[in-house]
Amino acid sequence: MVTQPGARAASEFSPRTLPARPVAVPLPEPFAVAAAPERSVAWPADWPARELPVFLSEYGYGSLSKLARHTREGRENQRKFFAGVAPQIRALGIEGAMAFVLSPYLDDQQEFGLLMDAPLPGTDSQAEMWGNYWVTPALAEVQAKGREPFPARRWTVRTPPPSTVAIDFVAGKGLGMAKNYAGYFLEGEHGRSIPVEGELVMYQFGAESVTGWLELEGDAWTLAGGGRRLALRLIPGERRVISVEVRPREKRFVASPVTAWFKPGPIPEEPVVAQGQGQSGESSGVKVVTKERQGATYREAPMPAAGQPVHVFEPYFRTENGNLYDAGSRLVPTEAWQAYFQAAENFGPAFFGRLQHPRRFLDNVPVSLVFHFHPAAFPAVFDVRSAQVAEYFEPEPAERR
Amino acid sequence: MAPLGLPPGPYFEALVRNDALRYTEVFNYHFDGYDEEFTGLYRQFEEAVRTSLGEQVESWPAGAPAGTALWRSRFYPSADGWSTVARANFETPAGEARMDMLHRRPRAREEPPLERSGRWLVTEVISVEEIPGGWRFRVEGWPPTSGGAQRAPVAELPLPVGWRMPAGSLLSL
Repeated sequence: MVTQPGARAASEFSPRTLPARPVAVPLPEPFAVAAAPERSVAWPADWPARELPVFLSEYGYGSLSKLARHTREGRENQRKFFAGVAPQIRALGIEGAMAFVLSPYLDDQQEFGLLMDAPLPGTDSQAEMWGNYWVTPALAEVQAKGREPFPARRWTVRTPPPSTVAIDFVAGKGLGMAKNYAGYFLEGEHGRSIPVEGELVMYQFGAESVTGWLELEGDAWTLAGGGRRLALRLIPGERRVISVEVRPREKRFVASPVTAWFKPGPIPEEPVVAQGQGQSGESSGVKVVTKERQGATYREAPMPAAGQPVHVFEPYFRTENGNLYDAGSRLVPTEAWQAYFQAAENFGPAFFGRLQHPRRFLDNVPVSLVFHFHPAAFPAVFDVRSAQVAEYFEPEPAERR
Repeated sequence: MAPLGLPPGPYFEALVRNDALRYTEVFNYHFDGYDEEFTGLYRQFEEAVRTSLGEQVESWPAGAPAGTALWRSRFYPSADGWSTVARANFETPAGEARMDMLHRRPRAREEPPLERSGRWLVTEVISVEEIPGGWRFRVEGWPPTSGGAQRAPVAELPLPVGWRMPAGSLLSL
């Protein structure tokens, strides 16, 4: 083994003696990975340190075409991918790395299998087989490298001990889930006139009753009837539904962040009191009800039927550090024009660009708009028009339709 | 924990904001890129965990009792009926230095090469036509790559120096 002065071989480290930064991984200069800046955090005393093993429950080669899977060249490319990843797994100390996937598996247009259902051209009769399948060069590579032990490296994290209470949210009529925006849109004109309803659903998974306060943070919502604080007693196994009213007050089309807290603690004797109301129970206008879910109004993008070939394309931004960013959108073009809107905050790092620091799109400098195309057949024509970046403001009353 | 299928972006941050790391005994993810990106993804996740937990601490109420639980999300107004204020467009050519930087940027072993085509950089199987108010992309096949790896055809529009997409703005097509 050749090492640089001052460098230590990975095998010298044990999980207990690893330095704060892992040993540098020797990558070609264009892909040298810069270390992220450290962050100084004042951890609460009651957030204990824990060690998290790092698992990689799937890593696979995604560039083996339907045709190339039957060629020596294609399978050699697959082998090179696993040969390239193996030393990085070892240097980083990743536990439980699992190559994807053993059996032949054609996912749309890419083959992922590490076994083949037919021998490669020119293979002699001594080629290794598993059952009725032939072993690929990639599988032989994974098997050979996988037998060599290496020290694991775990991440130290600090989090509060788990709570027995969980909080969920069910959107009511007029409120639609928007996955790419990590939130909910009001639908129609509701946002400017009447609030819409949603339901917070509280679960107590503990074996004891718990008392405490539900507190709503953020000015885009209140408890139904007003107020943002409610005393609760939750019995073991209870599921409690609490109605809220949602009305974002922003004059721009931007997110209003909200948080619902449950803070255990003593509460006044029953009945439940809503802060600011001075009245109790249903008469205060605060609805505390236990009922089954009435059905949510989820809105999801229509997807083509499984197995139906369609053209797909994806817009990205590339940034100065080489990263690619997308907003999770695979666009399916149609004969009619469609609209595409994604907020800057929706863009996250994507595979098949680079994956460098800084990680966040808004901390980077965009240098190009990029389209990746996935045609179902050739030639394929894609039209794009009216591309722009804009902010959206509430119009003056005279401007409204 | 269930594996994270994408690099650490807005979905990951929403997961941490909602306390997911508090309830797991292992960190688990997937990798699906070029092998040259493997360590970059690991380091991104490592940094994202550290940063997102730090932000969680900063937003945690002082003196919050043990057993405190939370749910976080974001509400947006109705998407209809807004006035538009344009912040950036895609009409200004990038200039030679930016074109050259992108044309020469390091590529992964199997990343298809791009060639210059007007103000675009494209894999050789794509032609771009400027149409009224937009672009028409004609894709003829899979791009040639090292060893015949199958990668997506790409069209890339370099942006001029100083081009920005500010927080709170939206890309529309």
